[in-house]
Amino acid sequence: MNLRHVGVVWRKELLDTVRERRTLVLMIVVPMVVMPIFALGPSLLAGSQESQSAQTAQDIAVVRPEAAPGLMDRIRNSDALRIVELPDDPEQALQDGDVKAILEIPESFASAVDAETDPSPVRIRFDATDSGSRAAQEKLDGFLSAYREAVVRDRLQRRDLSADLLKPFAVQAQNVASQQQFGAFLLSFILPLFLVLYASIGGSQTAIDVSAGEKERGTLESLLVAPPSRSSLVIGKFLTIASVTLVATVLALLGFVLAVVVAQQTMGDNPVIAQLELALAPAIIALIFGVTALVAAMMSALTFALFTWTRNFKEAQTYSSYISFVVMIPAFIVAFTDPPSSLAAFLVPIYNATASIKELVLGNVNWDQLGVTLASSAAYSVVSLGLAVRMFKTEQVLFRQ
Amino acid sequence: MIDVSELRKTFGDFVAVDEVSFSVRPGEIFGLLGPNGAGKTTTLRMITTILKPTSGSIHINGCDAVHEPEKVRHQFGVLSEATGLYDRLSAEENVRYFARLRDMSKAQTQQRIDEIFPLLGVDEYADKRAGKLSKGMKQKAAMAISLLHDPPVLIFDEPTSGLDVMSSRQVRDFLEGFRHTDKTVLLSTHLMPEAERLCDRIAIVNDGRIVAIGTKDELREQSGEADLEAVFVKLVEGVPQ
Repeated sequence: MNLRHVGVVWRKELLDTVRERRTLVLMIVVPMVVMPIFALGPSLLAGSQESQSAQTAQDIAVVRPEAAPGLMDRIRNSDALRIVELPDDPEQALQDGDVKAILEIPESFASAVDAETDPSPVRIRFDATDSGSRAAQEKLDGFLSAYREAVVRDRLQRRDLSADLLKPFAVQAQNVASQQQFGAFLLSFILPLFLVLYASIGGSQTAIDVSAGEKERGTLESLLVAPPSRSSLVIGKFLTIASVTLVATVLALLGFVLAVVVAQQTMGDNPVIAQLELALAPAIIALIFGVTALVAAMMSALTFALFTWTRNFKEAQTYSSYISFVVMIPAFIVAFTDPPSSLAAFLVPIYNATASIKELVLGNVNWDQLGVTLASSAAYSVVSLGLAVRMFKTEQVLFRQ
Repeated sequence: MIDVSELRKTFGDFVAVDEVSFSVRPGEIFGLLGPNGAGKTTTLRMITTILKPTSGSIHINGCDAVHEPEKVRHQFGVLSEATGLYDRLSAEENVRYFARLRDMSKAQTQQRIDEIFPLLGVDEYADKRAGKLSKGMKQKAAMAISLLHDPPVLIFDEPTSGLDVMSSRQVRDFLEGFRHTDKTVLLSTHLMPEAERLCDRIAIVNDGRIVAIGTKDELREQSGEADLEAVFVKLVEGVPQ
């Protein structure tokens, strides 16, 4: 290997890369703009929508309101819900969102309650996919519970019994997760997913270009008859892919920080934001970057080896999409399972990085896990690079028919 | 000087090149003539160190191409059918990239560019991106790359393939200029007129073997045919019934 040759190849490939608009968009625009929106948008929006739904009054329709005058009075006297006229097709109106819930009072409900006989059940119809409808249902539930309690209280009173009979014991639920930890949970799924994904395929456009692309364009032979050793060529190309991937990953991290800052300015005291700030503390960011950088190195070498084997752009792009699916799997496993207690689990490539980033985002710095993750990822990078060199020296790979 | 001896290359069961031997002297243009798939490109790829021979030896100016590939690559310039230029680099940037890979100094590179570009007409489009050039323009820029380091040995694989009449003619005129210089030139082609016009000696290749070798006159004499094309057809298709 000749360092001068490595440098020459690296510089040329970088120049070639930045002249390709498609790569630039993938490298800069997507991580900085699209990704934070995708990643943070839903949770921020959901957060503000939930609180909005709770505050505004939803329109509901009632079937046979005259059968439960007491209950109707309670609803009308509050401003949580607005009772509108029953539409001709209530089901359709509910589906269209014209009314957020339909309350069905059975016939002779009031008389059955008064007579202490069992009336047919009261029905609430709502649309669980609509946050306004969910809010209306919860509010109706509240009204019905309160009304039920009042009825029971009434009956107890008539029998000269204490209302305390209703509450044999009290329950107090206390959320031990701080607000910050709760928001970090959202981020602990999204951030590892996107970072590992980006570290894996952020440079794949370049990786394809410098391998299968050279085959397809016929430049490979010109390169192979030039004096530099195959190792010099491979290292130079690997450095190019790794640089592009690292830039993309750094920009992705920056995109998150930026999104948090913007959200802070525009959305005020959304609880999710406060938690993000903690997760994105400088020391944590540095560790996240370290883990991600090694994934980038490993995957740059591995994708380069793979794309050197493929015959052309198209084939390489197909494999690139397979890779993105595969590296997403650990993110889902990590999101919905507790951190593994065994250190051996942190030897599994990609999974180890995803799990480590999740823990870091949650504010847990476990040096043993990080050590195993970093060391094994570095080892896999070296092995992958060896594989890439081997690929570049194998005739059957370079001239696959 | 190129010395090829009992060269053989197999891909699995398929024998692509079979016991090929020839040598090319300085000042000579030597042609490998044969139909597509005869093994010409495989032979050239072994000589240019892209492929390793299954057996046999190759020496270029005394260097062993099989065991010292990196040393041998300084000895030759190659121009192949698939013009290898990077589309997003200009013609000149392409040339400079390969000059750097050959450890040429900046001054040296500039001097050679000043010499070669006007000769080939590349100076007219030197700063245009290669992706925007015609096939003929690209081929001339690729030729500039192969000549830049002034190598003693030149290897051309189907250099006029895919070019229009004018570009082919220019390339052939240029190649002819190497006759009686100190360069050793090896040319592979499937075009009879090209071989007839350019080559001092010709090896006719078929199914991975050399079926005849010699000057044009020697080939005519050996086969008893007056026309070189008839010689070729006779040798490639076997003895006429």
